[in-house]
Amino acid sequence: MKLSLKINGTAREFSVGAETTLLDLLREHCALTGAKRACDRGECGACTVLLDQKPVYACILPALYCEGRSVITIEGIAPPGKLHPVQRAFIESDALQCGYCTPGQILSAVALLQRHRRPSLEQISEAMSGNLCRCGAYPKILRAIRRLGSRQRRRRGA
Amino acid sequence: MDSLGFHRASSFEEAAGLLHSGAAVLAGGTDLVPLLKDGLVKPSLLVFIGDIPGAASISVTRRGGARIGAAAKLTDIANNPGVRRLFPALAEACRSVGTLQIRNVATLGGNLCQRPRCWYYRSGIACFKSGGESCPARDGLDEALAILGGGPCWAVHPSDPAVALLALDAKITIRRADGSVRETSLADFYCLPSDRLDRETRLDAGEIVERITVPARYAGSPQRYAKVTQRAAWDFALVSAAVVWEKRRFRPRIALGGVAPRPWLLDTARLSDPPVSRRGRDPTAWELWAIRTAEQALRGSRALSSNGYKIELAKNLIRRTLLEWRRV
Repeated sequence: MKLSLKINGTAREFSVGAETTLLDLLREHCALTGAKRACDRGECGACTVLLDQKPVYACILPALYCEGRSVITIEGIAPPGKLHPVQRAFIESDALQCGYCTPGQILSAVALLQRHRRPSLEQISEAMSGNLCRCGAYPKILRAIRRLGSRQRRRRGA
Repeated sequence: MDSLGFHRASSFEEAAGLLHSGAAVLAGGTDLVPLLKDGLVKPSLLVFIGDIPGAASISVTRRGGARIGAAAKLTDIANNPGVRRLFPALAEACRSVGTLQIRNVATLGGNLCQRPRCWYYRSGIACFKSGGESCPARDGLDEALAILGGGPCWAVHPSDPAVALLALDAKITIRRADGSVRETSLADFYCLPSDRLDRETRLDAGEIVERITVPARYAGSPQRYAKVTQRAAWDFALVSAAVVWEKRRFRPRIALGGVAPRPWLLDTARLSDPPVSRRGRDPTAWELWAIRTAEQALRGSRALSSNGYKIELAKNLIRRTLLEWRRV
């Protein structure tokens, strides 16, 4: 079936079957391998991407569901060669070890900080609890997001 | 899955007409896609209902109650100001499902129609749900199984919103293939394995859930949904409870989740009346009543080899939830 959607700001067209997931589409048809295939059952969050700015599990989302929508992957959150502030914060806070879950973690954090400029601890844990980290980098992931929240506040002069 | 077809329905009537034996309804897909991947369902056609005009609508008023389209997303229900204000038990139940990523696509209709999470069934081990002739969980790892209404399958119903909606006496509007509609109470929507083994609802072939209606009777009444899980996120209820107070008759409707093959409504007639006098509430009498109600609620429950903890958990959850109204 024909499928039209925006991926990282660019309108694209594909011909895919009903069994193709958004993750299949990104990884196999678009060579966007930032979204990772780990559990492949919507349980770990390594495949998290933004669909119309909301985090979703690409591994259990039929690609055809995304007709006419906009998908943002880790490759699309900053211009080529540049880092998004959340990416910089993760590096500064050393918020990763093996890095496999990191693209998903960052996209969840980006969506959170779009919704709440200075998220509470409760809002952070709700927004981030769909992303597992087997290395256990959670305390530093939390620190990266909290630092960003307070930095955003300072920048606004609040 | 090579020959799997896909159809974007433009109305529920059209969708129902396509639901022959080989078709499956796709809304958010958070349950269906894992079932497909695990080979537990093998449809030849996916009928997508997410593009049907109005299918995701949420309308809530104090006078009219709530009308929620089958394809409304759990995030949108949980964040809807009207739902939060007038039906907080439903908002809380929706918010407690899975993770944000799940709730951003999972729909209310899909949540109500999801299949059991029994790990024997999900692992592809032959059982009653997969067309087999026995329940391996009954004699195996049975800690997640039912303490009420079980047998011959003992898998519990996994939905959170269904428990809140049951306590709220919700109705379900079902569209049939011939275009007609029927309405059923949520209590009659679900069946027990002793009635029917292949599925958990009384939906017949060619029927599709179109809308969920919550009566205005409980709009803004005191209510609560509480869920006990092993971990704080992405987990199904070990036990959950929804308590909804009737506005006129001062008596709660109580529904339990995680304890039976269907969301479990307690028979209010079998529960004692709460100790309310004109002068208000005596906290001690209220506490004794809460303990008695919890005991009455679990009467008839039966433990298998290692799920007996659910009986105590359910009693404590009911008692604890009722104690929130100890003082007014």
